[in-house]
Amino acid sequence: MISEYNLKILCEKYNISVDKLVNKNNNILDKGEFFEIDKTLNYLINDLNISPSNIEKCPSILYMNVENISLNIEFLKKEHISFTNIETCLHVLNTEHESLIGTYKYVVENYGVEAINKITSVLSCPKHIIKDVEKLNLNIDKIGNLTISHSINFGYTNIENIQKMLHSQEYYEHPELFTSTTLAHAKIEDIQKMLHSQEYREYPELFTSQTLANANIEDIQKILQSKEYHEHPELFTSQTLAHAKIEDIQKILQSKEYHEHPELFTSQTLAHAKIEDIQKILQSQEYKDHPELFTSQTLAHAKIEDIQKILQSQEYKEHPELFTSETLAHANIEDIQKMLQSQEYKDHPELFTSTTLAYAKIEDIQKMLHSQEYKEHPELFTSTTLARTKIEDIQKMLHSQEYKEHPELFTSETLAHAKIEDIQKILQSKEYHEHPELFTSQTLARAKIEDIQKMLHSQEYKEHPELFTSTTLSYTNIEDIQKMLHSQEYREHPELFTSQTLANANIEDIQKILQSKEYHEHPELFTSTTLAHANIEDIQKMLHSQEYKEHPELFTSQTLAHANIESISKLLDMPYWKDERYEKLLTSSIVANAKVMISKIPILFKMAEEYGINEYINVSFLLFSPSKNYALINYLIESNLPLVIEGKLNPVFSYQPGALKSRYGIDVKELIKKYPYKDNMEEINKNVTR
Amino acid sequence: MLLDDLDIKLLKENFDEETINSMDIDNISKIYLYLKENGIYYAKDLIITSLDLFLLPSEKFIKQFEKLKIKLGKDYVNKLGEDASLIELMYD
Repeated sequence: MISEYNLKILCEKYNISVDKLVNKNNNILDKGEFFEIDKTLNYLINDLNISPSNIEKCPSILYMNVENISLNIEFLKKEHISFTNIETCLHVLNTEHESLIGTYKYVVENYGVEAINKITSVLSCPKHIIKDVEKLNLNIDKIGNLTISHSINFGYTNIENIQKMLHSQEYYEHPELFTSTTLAHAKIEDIQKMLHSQEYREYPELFTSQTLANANIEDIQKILQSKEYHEHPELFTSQTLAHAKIEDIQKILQSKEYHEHPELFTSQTLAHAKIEDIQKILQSQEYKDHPELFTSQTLAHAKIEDIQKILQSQEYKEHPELFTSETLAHANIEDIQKMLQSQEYKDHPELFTSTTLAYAKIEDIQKMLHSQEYKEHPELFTSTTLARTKIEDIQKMLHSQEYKEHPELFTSETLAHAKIEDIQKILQSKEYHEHPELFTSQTLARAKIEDIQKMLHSQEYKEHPELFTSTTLSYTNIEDIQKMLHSQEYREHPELFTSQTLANANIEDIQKILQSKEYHEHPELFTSTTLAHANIEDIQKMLHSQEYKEHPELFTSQTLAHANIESISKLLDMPYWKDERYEKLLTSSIVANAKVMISKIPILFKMAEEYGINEYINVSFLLFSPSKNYALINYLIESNLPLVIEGKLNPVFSYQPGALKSRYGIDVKELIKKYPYKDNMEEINKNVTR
Repeated sequence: MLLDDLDIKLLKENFDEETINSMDIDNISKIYLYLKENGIYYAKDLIITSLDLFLLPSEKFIKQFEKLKIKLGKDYVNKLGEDASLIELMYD
């Protein structure tokens, strides 16, 4: 036993929040001992560098004996189990050492080591529980057995509950609703109440396996009968029902914050955030200083304390370009620091973007970049691959029969987004054999065979096959297409609906656009591309902006489709255009690509200045990449050819590379390899950012 | 038409990730084929410098390109190849 006062003293010594510890698990006060806790904390924090926030999430680690923890850690390190995974479920270290070894060996032998990296918690589970679950012969992903075993070990469910579920009428009628998570967390009596309710009959789309696993019908009824649901149905999804309580939702929707910033509140915010946390965020100095870093995602997933740590860090000061609202929403500073201090980051900075920081762990990246697969196919590994996938999944893919037979269907996108099991189902399907032209690497990366089948057997496909391309199959689903093709808008403006519109837009956004005052006043600015890529709020901001009033000639349908007013405004504010030598360079194509031009143009001007050709810059120079212009400058200098001829930039700068090769035999690609711009560009980029 | 690593690198210098991710392979292939049929042997270069135009539906792109051909006259292949800024005529 330890008094709260003594625990507080220890927590202060190690910079841990006593409130978080006790609120999470107050057993620590009954079961903990002062000297044991001191020894354990000293070992975890000073020897293993485990972050205090991870310890706060697992107080039970502090009342277990430290020798046992030490034995378990040594064993797992020896077996190369990713320490990040252990850090975030420290309770496994409490497991009796012999039991942990037994479970580890059994799981590795029967499920593979990657199963341990996915569900590290299973190590705290005695192996006889796993064997009992296996005997149930569940029709789920094999690894689901481990999720359920872990749940039984924690007392969330038991074998009898699961058996009842498997023998129920509900299971026979809706097997898709019974995933390993449902089996691990729900009770059949609760599921029966849910599936026989009036609410399920009226809104079946709001009930998923997650709803069954996490919610109960009484809470759902309160939500669906509430004034809030009737006034804002768009804010309520199956996720909201699965994770939120009506009392919390009401507090959010009645808050001053919601009324002042409704754009920051989505169904995700309602599902995952609490108003107290949102208020702290929106009242913070950080929000006032960097509102652009705060989106509905940030509100839904982040805490202000973590955001403050990130924005006050040295890493943020040195690499602000790597920190976006996504990073703030999903990452923590400890992981970011490990990543940016790693050798891998120093060797391959181009593979680390804000998305990598937001979603990846350095241990996983290290495994990837030291793998045989990376050495053999570096072109398949991009920053997205690092951010979204694990080496074990990539290995399965690159050693598969499918990859050997159709390597052209496997790109870095496929590796980043797909699973080999889904790809196998697609390539073995009747649909693939009948319409191979509809299946590209994109389709494999993004679509599921069940969705493709629904699409290709639909009435809509039979009537409008021209609207269905591999992109349609990759990015949308038949339900959304049906809504679109049966809409009044489609009947009135079929020319605005192409396969692109079907793939990228949704009917609600299209309706908002076509009913807007802006569309009626400037129909010439709205094409199917605008409908496919833009949203009405951005268009309205653009057409009501000072920039549009001053330069309407620069705004085309392309601008509306691809740019946004924030980047256009930054572009038009650049000092160059105030100089009469350059004002003619501000054209529609430059403005339409404002998002990238705001960082590319300073690089090109700086380059031109360095070589004394800044007075002669023309539109072509701005359209081409820095690498291409840099290679040509160096080629001309080395060949003793002038950069400027008769007061104009040498015409070779305006040539398309193909035309240059055909006319003068100059191979731009070879020049780019000979005069690589990478290092210089990074240097210039740094200067631009600062 | 295959984009190699270097093409992708240049594309990333010229366009933001969102625009690159919006590439519709079928649509771009149709436009590419049309350009090749019209003698534009450097069609891949156009994708790298003007990807945003290749996101237009192929019918719309073709309509715009036909207008550009008229504006540039018979020698449009050489003119466009020798002066990348002439692509500006496709923006309306």
